Amino acid sequence: MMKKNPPGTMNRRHMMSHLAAGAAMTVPAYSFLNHVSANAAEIRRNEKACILIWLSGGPPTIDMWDLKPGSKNGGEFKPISTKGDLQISEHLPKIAQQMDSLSVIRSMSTREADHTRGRYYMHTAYVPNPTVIHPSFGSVVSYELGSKRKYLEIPSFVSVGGGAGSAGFLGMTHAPFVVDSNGNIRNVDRNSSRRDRLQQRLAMWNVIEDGFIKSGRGDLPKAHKDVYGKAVNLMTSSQMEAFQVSSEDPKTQEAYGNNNFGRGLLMARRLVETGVPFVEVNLGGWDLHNDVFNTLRDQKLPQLDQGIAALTQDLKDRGMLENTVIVCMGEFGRTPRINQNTGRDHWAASWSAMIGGGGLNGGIAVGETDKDGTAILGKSYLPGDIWATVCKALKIPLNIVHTSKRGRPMKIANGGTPIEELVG
Amino acid sequence: MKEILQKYPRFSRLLDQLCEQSLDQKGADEISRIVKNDPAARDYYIRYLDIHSTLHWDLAISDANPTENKQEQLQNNTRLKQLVESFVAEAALEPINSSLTTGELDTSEFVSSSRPSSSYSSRKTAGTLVAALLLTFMVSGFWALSPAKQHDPVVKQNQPGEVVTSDIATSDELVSNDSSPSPGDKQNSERMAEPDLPPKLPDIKWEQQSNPISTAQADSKKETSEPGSPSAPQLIDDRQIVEVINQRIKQGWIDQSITPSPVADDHEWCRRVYLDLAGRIPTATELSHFLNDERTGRERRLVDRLLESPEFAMSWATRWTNLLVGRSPNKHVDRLALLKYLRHSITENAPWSLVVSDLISAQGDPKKNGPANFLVAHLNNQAVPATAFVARTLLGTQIQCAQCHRHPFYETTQRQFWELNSFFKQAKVVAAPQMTTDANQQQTAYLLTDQPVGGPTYYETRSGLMQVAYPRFNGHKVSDDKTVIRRQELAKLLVEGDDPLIAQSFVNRTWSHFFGYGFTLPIDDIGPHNPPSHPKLFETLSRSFVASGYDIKRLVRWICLSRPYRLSSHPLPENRQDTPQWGDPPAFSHMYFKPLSPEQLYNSLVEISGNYPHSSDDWNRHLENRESWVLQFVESLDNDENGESNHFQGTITQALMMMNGELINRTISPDSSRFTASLIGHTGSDLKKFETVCLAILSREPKPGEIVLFRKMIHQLKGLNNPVERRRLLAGQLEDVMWAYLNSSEFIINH
Repeated sequence: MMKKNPPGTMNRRHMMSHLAAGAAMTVPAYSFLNHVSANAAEIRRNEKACILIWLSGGPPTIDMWDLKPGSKNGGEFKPISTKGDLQISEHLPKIAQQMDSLSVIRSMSTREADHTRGRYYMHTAYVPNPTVIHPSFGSVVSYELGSKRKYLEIPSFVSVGGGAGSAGFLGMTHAPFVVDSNGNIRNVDRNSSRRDRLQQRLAMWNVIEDGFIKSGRGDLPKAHKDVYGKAVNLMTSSQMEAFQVSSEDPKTQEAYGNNNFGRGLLMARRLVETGVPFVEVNLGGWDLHNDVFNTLRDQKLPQLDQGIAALTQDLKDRGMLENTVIVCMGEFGRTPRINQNTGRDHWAASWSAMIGGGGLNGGIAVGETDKDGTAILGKSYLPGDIWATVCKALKIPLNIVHTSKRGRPMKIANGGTPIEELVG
Repeated sequence: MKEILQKYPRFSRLLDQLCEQSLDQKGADEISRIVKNDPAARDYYIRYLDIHSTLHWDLAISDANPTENKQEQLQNNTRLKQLVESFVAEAALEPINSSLTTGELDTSEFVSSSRPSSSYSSRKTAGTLVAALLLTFMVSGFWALSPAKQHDPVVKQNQPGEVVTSDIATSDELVSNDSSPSPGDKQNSERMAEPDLPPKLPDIKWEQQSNPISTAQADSKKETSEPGSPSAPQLIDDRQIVEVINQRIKQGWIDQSITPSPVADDHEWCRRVYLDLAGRIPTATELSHFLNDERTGRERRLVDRLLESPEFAMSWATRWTNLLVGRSPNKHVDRLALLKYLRHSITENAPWSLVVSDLISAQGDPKKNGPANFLVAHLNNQAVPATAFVARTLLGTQIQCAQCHRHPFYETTQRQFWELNSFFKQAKVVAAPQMTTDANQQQTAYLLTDQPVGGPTYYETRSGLMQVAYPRFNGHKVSDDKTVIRRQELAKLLVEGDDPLIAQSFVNRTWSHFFGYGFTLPIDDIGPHNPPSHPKLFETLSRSFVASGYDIKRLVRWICLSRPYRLSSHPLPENRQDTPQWGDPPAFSHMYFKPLSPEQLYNSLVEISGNYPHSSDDWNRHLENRESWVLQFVESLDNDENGESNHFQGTITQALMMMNGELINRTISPDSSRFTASLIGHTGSDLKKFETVCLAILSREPKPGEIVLFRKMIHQLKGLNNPVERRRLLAGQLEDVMWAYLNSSEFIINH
């Protein structure tokens, strides 16, 4: 009779060893084999992490973080006082109560006011260049911190909602793992009774893959195998529980907001708690060429306000805020001038980004714009400076230089400098 | 670098202005002062401009290997610094530097022309200095670039490259379907074998030459009984063009001292051409049909057969639908209507110029008039997305950047963007109540119309000034009277000339579909600032394409029958440095990997399972299923420009789908897969069945190591006497084997 493992006898180590059997396997990707399936996800509150809240479309920061009352560009909103040493929009009252922990950089000046280019620039700190694909900063953090967290069985760069760019020359294992905010990861077969089947399949697969890799056809087949390693690792991991926002206390869920954005932020906290060093949560709909004030007041700002305030408070309550940086920005700001459709267009010359947590100084406004918001007074900042600040908070050394596939040296955060007021 | 900006807070802004040509005299003076007095600032200045010419740098140092690369870059930088410093010194000494006048740059190009005419000498010093630096930069960039890029017409024949051509099927073999090859062809092949003759190109003067179509028609009187059917006599031209491709690409290998890979084996090529043309892998039967065809010209016959198949029309239409309106759903856009229109166009062999005209000028209900969907998808936000999409997708140019950012080497201005935009000023989607059979129900159709409005378009410059733009394209101005329907005028202007952008862009995209890379990187950024990898070939192809009457299938045929397309994807040590994936200009010395698109993967899986659509009802269902399946990998970027991204190729998400997805299960399970079911029911040997699986999925025979493993797997079946039980177990083994093959990187890559 055919010899068959009784169901359930195959353990994780056994299967992973099959996966890793090929001679061409890279050791690092599979060295978490020594961590054999813990019973429950361990909570890791002391690990450094960054949550990027991405406002896709380009938020009108002049109506959010740097209001200009009295100017012709001021618009309809009034500033309110906060717990920090700065004022923000009246439609962000909950964030105002957290503002002692958060700061605003009011002197971003970034030059790229096209969606694609701005998205790329703000994510990578490099302007687009046809000859090299730079990694999104989440991939950089995945590369620097994720690779060192051997216990981590789920991807170390998670994008809730997508649009987080690519891993570029750092390779597909550091690419963002894109999920919906509902936490249902498609095609994760967690049925352990089928694992012995998977084992046999992977054994065959190994032979085929190695044959193709050995045929000397570049990086792609090897990258494919590494990604499969990650995928199998994930399928069999109890850490997948972190994606299940619905298993969170209903009160907490309510606090974050019963919408995709709120769930995304809550998922981000759960992922960070599990050890994921970089989570990006996408909130779109900021490309407000028309009707900017009504849209902000009725839709965008209440959602943003509730979500960010809940996240900040939650991280604080759990003692995680000191280790978790929150960055909130989009590809650029919007024109100070209000257009004929009561909207604001693309504007990269003078705008604001919000940043806090991770031990950075809270409650301050860094830099300033002139009275109409059209120019920066004094020093201005580039995306590289934001990411250098994040590096500092995450304790990633700033002298790291990555190398593109062609051997071109690429300074981390494009050689940016941590913003003094925030790290000092 | 940061210190510089702290020391001179305005420096960065001034440099911006310099690049955007909005620098005033005061600013120029300031730059000049900073750069002259501070070496660190000079360094920063150089690096700053470096960003704007990185492309040129990359081209210039492309054939160095990575380690030498750095050194060379360093050397370049040092050399550059010396040059710049000498220029700076000269400029400071001598206000009017004579060397500048020999350059093509006038100082006024880089310094605002609105400056006052007084303070002459200081102005000139500054202007000279700035221009000197910039000029030095450009000159040295181009200088470094030139050896790699120039195609020297007098090249010795005994170069690497030549040796290999004998391994490669010549185009004569590929195109030898013609029953009576002309003597010229014979000569052609003989000449190629002779090592001491220079590789003379066929002398094609497209500008002067009469349209090949008309030549063909003249010939057709003699050669074919079907008047008006130009197919047979056009062979002569097709052959010439294929030969141009072969020679030009080969010239590139010679210039770069690259040895091309040998030709792909028949299995590899057959799989490739099915994926590229039919949008799916071949069945085992189709593969063996090709392999067993022993007559000459079988490649050509396969290409021709596939080109005429409905599947080619479908996969071509799918690709262009995705390019034109994206994959994300849009409530006013009927993707299937657009797809059907495109499929019909290619089936009827409509010229590309006509398709472009339709896309630009279509009116009416997008549900009924397919091409109307293109603009309906992008007319929002004052047709800014429409302008950008037309420019990028149809014209291969990136003028949307010009809205906010000016490239110093790129002549497109903000005004040009708005001039093109002005053509869409009248276009408007209007809601129209529709009659329905049920009187109680009223439906609303959204019609694409042209409103009778005239006048220019207003836009704001980067400095906040309001400007006007009149409808103008490529130097042709169109009346802004309200009675002139501007989109129709644009449609005419776009197809004018013997090498318009729509032809270049289409050729570049088509080429990149087959090779993975176009002549420019990226493919939708054509222009003098971004020199193509094979300028002459690119031009010949696009001119020939125009001369052929924008014949899409002919263009595809030229490419598919060319020698480079026949090459193996196995790189040799001698051409491993040909790596466009790292940003180098491609040399096409071996076939590059092309990851399967979601649609190609879906089609292939359904085809493997034996459930590929045959009737048109089947096709509609197939398309609907495919669309919803594909959407799991696509996310809208939720901005006003209809941006979207996908996380399909090479991601963990894709791996999970391939390992556990329902579609994979349907492809391999005997309950749903006709293929697996019939395989099990078949009487052949187990090993034969295993081979069939391998042929059906990877289009090749199993390798020895794989056979050994399979033998081990079925060893467990030995001694099983119950045939039902045996069959059940074998089915499981075959399923596992299929799973393993489907999950291999070899399967999800077109190679």
